[in-house]
Amino acid sequence: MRRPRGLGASRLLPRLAVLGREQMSYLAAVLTLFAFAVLIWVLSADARREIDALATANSDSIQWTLAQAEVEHLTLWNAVQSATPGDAASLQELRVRFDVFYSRVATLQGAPAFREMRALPEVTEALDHVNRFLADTIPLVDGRDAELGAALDELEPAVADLRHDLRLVSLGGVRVFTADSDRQRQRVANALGDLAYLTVALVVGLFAMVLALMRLLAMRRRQTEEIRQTQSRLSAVVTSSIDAVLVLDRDGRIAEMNDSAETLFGYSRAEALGQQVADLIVPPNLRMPGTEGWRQIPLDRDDFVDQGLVQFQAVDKAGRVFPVEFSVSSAESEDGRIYVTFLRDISDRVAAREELIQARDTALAGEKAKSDMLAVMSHEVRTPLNGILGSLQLLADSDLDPRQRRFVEVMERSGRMLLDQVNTVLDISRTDAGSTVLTQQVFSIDRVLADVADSLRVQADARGNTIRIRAEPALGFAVGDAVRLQQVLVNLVANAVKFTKDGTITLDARRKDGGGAVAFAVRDTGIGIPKREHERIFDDFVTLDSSYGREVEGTGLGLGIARRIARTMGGDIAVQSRPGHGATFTATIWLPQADRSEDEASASAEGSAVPHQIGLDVLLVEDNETNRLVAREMLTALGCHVTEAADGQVGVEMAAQRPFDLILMDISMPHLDGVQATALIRSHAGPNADTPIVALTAHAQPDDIERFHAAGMADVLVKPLSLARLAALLSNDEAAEPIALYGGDPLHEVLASLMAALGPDGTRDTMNNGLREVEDGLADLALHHGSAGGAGALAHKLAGTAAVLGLRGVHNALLDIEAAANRGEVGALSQQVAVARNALVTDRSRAEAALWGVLEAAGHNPLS
Amino acid sequence: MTVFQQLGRGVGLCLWAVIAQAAHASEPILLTVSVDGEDTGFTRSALEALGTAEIETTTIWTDGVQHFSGVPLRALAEMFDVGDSGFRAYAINDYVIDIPLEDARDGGALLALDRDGEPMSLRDMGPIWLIYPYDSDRDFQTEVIYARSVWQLIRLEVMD
Repeated sequence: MRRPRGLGASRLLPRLAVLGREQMSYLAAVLTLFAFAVLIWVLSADARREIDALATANSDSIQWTLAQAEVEHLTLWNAVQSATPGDAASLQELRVRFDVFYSRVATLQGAPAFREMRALPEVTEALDHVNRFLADTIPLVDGRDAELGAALDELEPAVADLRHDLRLVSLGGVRVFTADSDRQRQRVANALGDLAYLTVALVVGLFAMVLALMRLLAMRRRQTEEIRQTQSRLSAVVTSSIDAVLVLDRDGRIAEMNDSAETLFGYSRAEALGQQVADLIVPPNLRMPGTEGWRQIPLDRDDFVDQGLVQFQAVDKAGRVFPVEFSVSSAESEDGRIYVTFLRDISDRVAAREELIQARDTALAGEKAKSDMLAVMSHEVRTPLNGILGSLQLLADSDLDPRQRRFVEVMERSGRMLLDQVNTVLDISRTDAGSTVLTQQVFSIDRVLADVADSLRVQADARGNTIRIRAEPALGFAVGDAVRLQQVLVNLVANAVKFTKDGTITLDARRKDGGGAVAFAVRDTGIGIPKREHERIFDDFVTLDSSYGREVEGTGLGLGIARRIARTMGGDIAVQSRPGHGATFTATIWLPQADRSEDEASASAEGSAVPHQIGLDVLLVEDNETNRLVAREMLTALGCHVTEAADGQVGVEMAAQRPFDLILMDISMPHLDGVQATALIRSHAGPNADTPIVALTAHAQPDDIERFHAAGMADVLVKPLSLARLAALLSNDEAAEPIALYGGDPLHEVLASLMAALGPDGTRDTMNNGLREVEDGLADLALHHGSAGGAGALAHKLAGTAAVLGLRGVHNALLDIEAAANRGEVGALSQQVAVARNALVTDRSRAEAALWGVLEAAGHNPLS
Repeated sequence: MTVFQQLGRGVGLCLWAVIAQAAHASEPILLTVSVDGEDTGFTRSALEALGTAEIETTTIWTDGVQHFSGVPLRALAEMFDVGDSGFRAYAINDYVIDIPLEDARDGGALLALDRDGEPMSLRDMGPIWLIYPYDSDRDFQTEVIYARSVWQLIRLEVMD
């Protein structure tokens, strides 16, 4: 169960200075209120100004002044009317009243407060009139009583006249000043009104803020409640968790633990809280020595914090050490970093796994043992069988009467069948054990088809069946394992023959679109296979009972093997059949087309026929005995006369004695190698100075060929020798190439050549002798205490033998030994010998298998 | 006031009146101060003898800054030992207004005799214009103060 990494992830959230929505609205509210406040301040300043204007009067009572002007005029008028010339007191009174009136008018004229009023046209005119009167009258008033008294009669109407003017002034004033008053009042009212509105708005705003705050408070309360619930849920989770939960503080002390932790480790909370976690649960032997706290844990904190599940060991109070699986997440708390750990005892799981592994190993071992046993048993069975069959062969070759001969034939056939079954079992166990090594070589598919048909013709005839091959267009050459392919096809065709009587078996081969795969269809007109058996027949040990009774024999292993091989070769076998309508088995095998120029197999496949005789006098210079033997046999088979020389020096000497038609010169020889010998022969003006000299070598790089040609060699033959190529060389057929590079598997070619030259027995003996020679030689090398040169020479000889037998692995290993010995390094000799021996094991089994296959294919008893 | 103080005041005033009359017999009386029915007349010289002060101010009845010089009301208030009720002021046109004692202080009302260096005639709001230093304080720019700014002042009655 994976633990979420959430706790740890929280510290990964970037700390951005982003204002949340809440904070944004706070800011907006504050700014709005501030704006309001500013507006209010401005407006109140305005209102204050207006109110101030009221507070400071810019005039005394306008109305009083205007009224008083009229009163003082009337008083003057009265005084004029009351004055009599000669009455000094009344005249004085008149003067006083005139002055008083004068000063009042001066006020009206001069005071700034009356400016607006004075602007009125009727007022202007009226005041002008009054001022004119005053100006006119001043001289009289300032003059003597006599003049004044005399003017009284004129004065009085003039004064009376003024009344109208003063009225006008008063009325004008009233108009102006009432309007002013109103305006002022209005301004004040407006200012106050605006102020009031703003104040209301401010109050509303404040209310809104209060509401918002209340809502915020409610939300906060809700959040707190949610958090509380979440906390209690989490707490419940932790408490009830089956796994042990520990919370550690930043120093590694246990801050919290749940009940499961108590149970698992055996400490009560009281005992465990405050303790270092390493002291309690890390096994003492795993604690880092000389440390304390966190550092006692022998794991790097970065390796297990927030890294998912980790497996380790823990110890409980009783001292029992057990495997645990745990995960650690980190989180921030107000006291710093804390670590939350979930642990679980996985001893059960570990034990179960161990059991499973053991059971599996046991099973595998059992399988292997079975396989091995089968193989060994088969081997053990084969040996006496081979003895029986061998003897029967000899018996068959001796004089027998027909009745005896019949018995022998029956025995031979039975024996052969028995051997077949044993070999099949051996094959299965080898295939199952995975020790099937497919060889990759160029071969002719058509040839294989022909061979298959040929090998089963007798059996087919015996049951009245005909075998037909259909391969149009011809399949040509392909790269693959010819032996295995033949095995598969033989299997299928033999089955077809078994289940058909008086019918036809068609072997149809076709390359599939795309080119890599070839479909081989074996069609028979036999009894057919019911659908329910289509899969079963491929199972081991399954045979189908037939209406022909016990005519059908077999262990039932054939199809199983065939399918295994087909699958190993990158394909499969499928079946189509209906009871009474025959069956078609189609094997699809991966066999890519081969380039004809790479084809050497065709040459070797024809090895069964001995080419025409070419009688040449040949000098063979070769130091390796086996090589010499093989070459001599081949040459003799071709009708040549062979003279042998066992080393370069002898070869040169012989070449000096008499002329030859051809000299075959091995390259790698001790003392005098092939190149040097050739040079000598060429330089001596002897009888063979112009004789063609052909190099025999196991490897020929372009540089080497250059060297050979430079030395005077005409051609190169690569070992192991092939009869066909030898024949081609001898008959100067230019179409037969001197192969410079050799990439394929020499084994089959060697065997084919040997078969052609020496026959099956000879091939068998040569191969076995050669293998034994190499084996004994390696044993000698392993015990070698002599000089490096001696080791080198032995290795050289063995390498040659290995080469001629196509045992490439051993050959290369022996070359390494020879090279090292030539350099004087024998220190690693035993190791190198071991390598060579390993290679020999592989090569031997391959060689044996190939020999088997070749002998079988040729229809001979593959006696061991 | 004690009897002795009253007596003293009366004697002093009588003396002063006699002297004043003797000295300035030919000058007209500009201001009459009345206390409990007793009148005391002041000529210009008599007023000036009480000490003069000056006020520079604009007024609502004139144009531009005016330069007034005259006798501070405080001098009269002290001389006649005026109580909080202050004076009642009478103008020549029978305008009457009460002047509280607090106006008779330093920086307060002035019985202006001269305007711009010239004595004020009746026509010029004189001979005595009770003015205040309007420009010096907003508190002097009220209708109440303007109403107390009696021009053509002829009589002050001490109130009790």
